[in-house]
Formats: sequence, C-alpha cells, structure tokens
Amino acid sequence: MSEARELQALLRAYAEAEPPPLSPEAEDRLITSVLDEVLPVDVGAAQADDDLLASVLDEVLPLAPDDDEPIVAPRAGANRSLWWALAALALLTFGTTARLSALHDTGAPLALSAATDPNLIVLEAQIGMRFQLVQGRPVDLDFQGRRVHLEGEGAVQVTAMEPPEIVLEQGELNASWSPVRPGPLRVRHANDAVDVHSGTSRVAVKGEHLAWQIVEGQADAAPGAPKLRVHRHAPTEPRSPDAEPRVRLEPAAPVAPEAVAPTPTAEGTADEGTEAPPAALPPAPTAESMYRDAELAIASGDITAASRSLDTLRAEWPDSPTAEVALIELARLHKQDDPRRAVADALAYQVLYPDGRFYDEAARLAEELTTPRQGTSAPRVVPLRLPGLHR
Amino acid sequence: MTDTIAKAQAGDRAAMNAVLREQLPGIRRRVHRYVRPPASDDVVQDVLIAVARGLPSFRGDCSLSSWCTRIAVRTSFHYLRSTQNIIPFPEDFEPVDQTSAAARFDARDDLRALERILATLSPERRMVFILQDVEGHSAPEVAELLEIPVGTVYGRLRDARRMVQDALTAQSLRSAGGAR
Repeated sequence: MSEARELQALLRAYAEAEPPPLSPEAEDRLITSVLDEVLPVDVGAAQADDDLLASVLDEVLPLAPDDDEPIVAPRAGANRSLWWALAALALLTFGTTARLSALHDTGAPLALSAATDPNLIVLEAQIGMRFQLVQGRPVDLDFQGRRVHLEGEGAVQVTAMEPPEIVLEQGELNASWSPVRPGPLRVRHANDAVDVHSGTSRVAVKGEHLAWQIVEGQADAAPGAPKLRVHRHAPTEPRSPDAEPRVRLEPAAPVAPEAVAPTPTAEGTADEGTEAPPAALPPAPTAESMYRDAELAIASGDITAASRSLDTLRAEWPDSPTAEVALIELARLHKQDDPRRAVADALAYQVLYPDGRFYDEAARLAEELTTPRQGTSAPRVVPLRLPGLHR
Repeated sequence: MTDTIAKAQAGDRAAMNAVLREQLPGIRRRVHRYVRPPASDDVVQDVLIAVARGLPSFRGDCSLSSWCTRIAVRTSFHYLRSTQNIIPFPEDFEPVDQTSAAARFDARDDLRALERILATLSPERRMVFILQDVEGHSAPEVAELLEIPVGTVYGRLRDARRMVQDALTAQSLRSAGGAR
C-alpha cells in the first residue's frame, strides 16, 4: 500500500473511532446537570395537598446526611420539592406564627417556623442541619439569636454554631462560609456563576473544573475551584481614606492552571466599631447607573473602580442587555493590565452571547491574546480555562 | 424534531432534554476527537450548556447538528488553546467497524501512533488537520468553524500535513530498523 493510501486509511479509521459509550446513568446525570444549570426546575407552583405531603415523607426519610453522591444536580429537584413542601406545610397548616417539627436530611427534628413575612422561613440552626434553599423562599437561619439571612438557591448545611458556619452547595460549587461580621448572606445563581453576597466572611471553596473570582472578600480556594463572587453586602459603610484594607483579597491556595486567576479589587473599609448609618440612602442603583459609574471611572482612568462597577452590574443584573456590554467592556478594559482576565472575559462573552453584537470583537481579542508572539513558542496568555461554563 | 426544538427554545425542560439527548452522541464523538479525557467530558458538558443557553437564538439557518458542531469545535478549540491539552486517545478508544479501513492494519498501534503525532502539533494546526483531513470539511468550512481566514487554514494545513507525513515516515523507518 502506498504511503498516501496508508495515511488515508489511517485517517479514515481515526474518523470512524468512537469514544467509550456513556452509561445511561451517566448520560442522565450529564443531561440533568445541564438542564438544572440552564433551566432550573420551577417549584413556584403551590402543591400543598395530601399527595404532596405523602411525597414529602417519601423523600425525607430515605435521605442520608452525607452521601457520596456527586454534587452535580441530581438530587436538586427532589430537595427543592421537599423544601417547598416543608414551607407550604408550615404556612398552610400552622399559620404564620406557629412552629412545627419536621425532618431534615439528618433525620433529626428540625424546628421550623414561618415569620410574618409569608415568604420568609425561620429555622433554628443545628449542627448537621441540611436543607435546600429555593429561589424566592428566603430563610433566616437562627444561630442562638444571631440571625443569618439566606436567599437564593442551593443546598445548605450547618457545620458549626459558634462562630456560625455553613456549607453551600450549588451545582459544582461547594463552599463553606463563615461570617467574620454579622450580615446577610445572599446566594444567587447568575448565569455561569454563583454570586455570594455577604458581609465580611471567610469562604473556603471546594470543587473542580470551574473558574473562581473574588470581587471582594477573602477566600481559600482549592485548585480549580468553582467561580465564586464574594461581595461585601454593606457598601454604605463610612470609610477612612487612610484606612488599610481590612480584608486581604488573595487565594490561599494555588489556583489550577485551568482556573481563571482572580482579580481581586481590594477596597478598604471602615475600622471596626466606627460604623454610622448614612445620612441619606442613595438612590437604588440600576444596571444603567452602574454602567454610567463604570464609564466615569474609565474616563478618569480608574480601572479598578470601573472593573468593580462592571462586575457588580453583571452579578446583579445578569439578564440585562447592559450585562452583555459590560462583559465585552471588561475584556477591553483588562486587555493591557490583565490579559489573562481579558481572555477569560472574551471567551465568556463568546459562550454567553453567541449571537452578541460584540462576538467578533471578543473572538479577535481572545485570538490575539492567546496567539504566541512572534519568535516565541509560549502563548501570550498562560493556560486558561473557559470561565464558568460548568458551572 | 422541529416542534421539539421550538418548545426547547421556549424553555420547555422536557423538550430541551430531548434535544440534548439527540445531539449528545455527535457532540461526544467530535469533542473526544479533539480533547483528551478526562477533560473531554468537561468540554462535552460545556458544549451542552452552550447549546442549551444558545438554543433560543438558533434560527434554523442550518441543521441543529451543524450548529452544535460549530459550538463543539469552537469550545474545544478554545479549550485546547487555553490549556495546550494534548490530543485525545483513551485506552478504550476503539474503531467501530473492524471490517473497515481500520481492520487493514493493526488499528490500535497505528491509531495510537497517529495520536502521538497529532499531539505534537499546535492546537491550531491540529484542529485544522482533524477538521479537514479527518472529518472532511472544506477549507472554507474550517475557516468558518475556527473563525480564521481561509489562507490561514491552507497554511496551517500544509504545515500539519508535512509534520504528520514526516513523523509517519520517521516512525516507519524506525519500525523497519527495529525489524532487522
């Protein structure tokens, strides 16, 4: 056989080769995780009837406190309906102030009450308590009088009482969170990331494959940890211009090559104990006002502030049309000072907005920054993982 | 399938489930050609998420599988470029049809050899080579898939072919030497 024909046959064989088959279970897991990522189950419809109560018992009793199941999605639907059922049970059966005992994943009694706000559930924290946080169903977790407000989506497990510590799980995110100072904790699933808004906290992130990003706060991250944005919750604290940043913003562990390097934007805060309520509340920010802030910061050459505004815009209003512009603006902004971040943003843009107005620009930018310079073999930007595609 | 796509575009979870399952084998096949396990599984998931997120914007200008192919190629390409991941070739990567071309030679050894050779190519050359010479896309199609000029495709393909040919020749000489 001639060399050319031999090569042709070899290439045909290569084209005909199939990857190892996926088991039905693995396929189910994969598809479910994608669906949960993109189309979360709507559990908003009330179903507090006898069948539901029966299903609650069926769901609650077999659950183990800490099984070895992968965190990715499969149990989310069941836990969500469980949580909804417990909330509905509290509200419909016992009124808005009554208390009741139910079961949580550990099988131990769970004190649960409904507050005057019909949407708010109050839980007494107990070590080992585990429950599912559902979008639109905020929870006040009571640590012996110290309330932690939780909003968002994902599994929550209480791991310590003093100081309070909980573990958040959502998709592949697995982060333990412990407040340094009191403040609410809001967990929100925003496109490709989990946004965690909180007061000053320590956050340890576990997980693989995902990029992480600390906008503000402190995090201990395992290599290749999930994308996590930590925002201080109370931006209105007075700030001494000379005050040193009270929170160091850096990863405590090396980040895997595929993870996007964090670009913390440290912001100093007031000294402990000097807080005073602001004289007047500023108007509520909007996506547009946040973008204007970024534009002003760019105009004044304050890249850090501009980046922070754009990050906040994307985190707070991920579905806004301005969020698309913010993402490409971030890529442009960091092209010079942080090309690694610029590439991450450019790639994220291409994935999130395949038909976006700036798709070509994002592609060019990523291409330019990842193409080796003339005469070198190394790419201009060191290995980088597509940010947040897993979520 | 059109109705299913329309429902999936409207956010129907069951329809999206059906669409993703329908496209999964093709996406896996392609991604596994480009990206080495276990990262290939991650990239497959990335592609599925991108497909699910982007489906509302799918206008039907091409077939859904072509559209998914584009996403699979681009996502894999970006991944390869960003990580310098070497070419996939798991131990259990088997030719499907043993009576086909693969059966005419010791498929495993030769395919592994090809894999090793492809692994020495840059992601840019490798993708162009696989897309055109393995998958049979035309140069304009490759250019469109990778979003690069056609001239660049030709240049990279020429380089890749030369390198693959040189490597195969060198290996063949080594094998002949070893046999003596």
